[in-house]
Amino acid sequence: MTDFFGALELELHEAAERRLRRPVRLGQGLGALAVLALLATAVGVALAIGRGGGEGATGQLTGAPKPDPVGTVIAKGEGDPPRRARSLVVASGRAPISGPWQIEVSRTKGARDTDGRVLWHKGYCGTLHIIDPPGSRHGGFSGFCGSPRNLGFRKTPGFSRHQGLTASKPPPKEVLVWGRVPDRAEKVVITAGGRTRYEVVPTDGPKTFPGRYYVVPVKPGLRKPRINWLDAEGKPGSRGIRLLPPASRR
Amino acid sequence: MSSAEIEELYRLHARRMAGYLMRVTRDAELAADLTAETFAAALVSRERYRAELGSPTTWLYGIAANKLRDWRRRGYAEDRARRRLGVERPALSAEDVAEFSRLADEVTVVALLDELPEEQRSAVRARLVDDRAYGEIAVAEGVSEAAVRQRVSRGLSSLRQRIGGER
Repeated sequence: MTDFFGALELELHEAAERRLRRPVRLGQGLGALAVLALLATAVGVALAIGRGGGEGATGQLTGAPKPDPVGTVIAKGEGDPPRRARSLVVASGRAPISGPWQIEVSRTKGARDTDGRVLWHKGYCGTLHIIDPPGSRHGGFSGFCGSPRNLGFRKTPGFSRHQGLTASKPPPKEVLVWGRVPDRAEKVVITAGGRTRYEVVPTDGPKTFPGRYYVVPVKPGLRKPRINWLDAEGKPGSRGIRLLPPASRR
Repeated sequence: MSSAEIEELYRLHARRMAGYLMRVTRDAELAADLTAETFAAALVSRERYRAELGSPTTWLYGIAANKLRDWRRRGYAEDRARRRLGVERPALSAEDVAEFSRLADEVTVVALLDELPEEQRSAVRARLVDDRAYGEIAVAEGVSEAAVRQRVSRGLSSLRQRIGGER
């Protein structure tokens, strides 16, 4: 895919997300989940946050603008936005600008388009929820769906990166790059032109849904950023993956 | 149709659509404008899609045909849907321009045939690729000969529209 097609896909994705962030009406939750699934095969999702008033916490189970602990189960129809399926919190934390976040997994029956082609497979969806994004009236989220075995990371088994976009203005100050890494991953590293380097230690998911998860807050517009994971000896676990805008420059 | 389905349509058809529009306009910048506008318009009007009237692909190419018609009439590519959504058309690099040219050459009737509704596709294929008689196809499909003729006619019309931008 050339830059044009990738960039246009991101533009359209952002537009779809903006539409979903309108004040919640009955039935919109389903649309929101459909967009989660569209992110399923999308190359990347990220969450970028602008500055702003911090109004409108999305309110998870606790109702407070803080993430739920790992292992928390959110029942179908609960949470904000209401979950389409029972969700399990597999990682949570706080980013400097974006604030509290949590990664959730839920089951999906898969979906097909009107021609019968698979939109996404039966399996699991992973979703990053930004609970109280500054400058946005509604919580941000991004996600993807895939097969049970690899959580949708078919091309790079066990390792993926997603990024999320918000429509917030002024321009985003932070991009959250997130995903799952193999169990033997000790670190997740993002490098960009020159000396820019971000490192995080992935965290373990709950016993009921094992795996290691990470979120790396980065500045948007990095020069040729790549993400990879390192094992205990510091060896790269793969060739790495190039990050797309907004983590990278257009 | 959901946003997810529109994005899936994009992944499946954006490049072929760009090649089609490039083939018609012979202008990469214009083809890029029209590609972006077509998918933005699809996103805007996705709730108006009716499955009983045709496949998503047919619907999408119908939108593209309308955008081409507007371009011919006005002399410039419309950007109404993009403005409404706040979608910015990405700039083209030299590599992108070359890619558009390559995609234009890739668009063939055989490739487009796959995008026709099943009934039209099989009728056109049987009549023009396999060179079978209308009556024979009718028996095989279990429909009247008139119905087969209509399917072939509509299929060819749709193909002409996609290749030449006009019905």
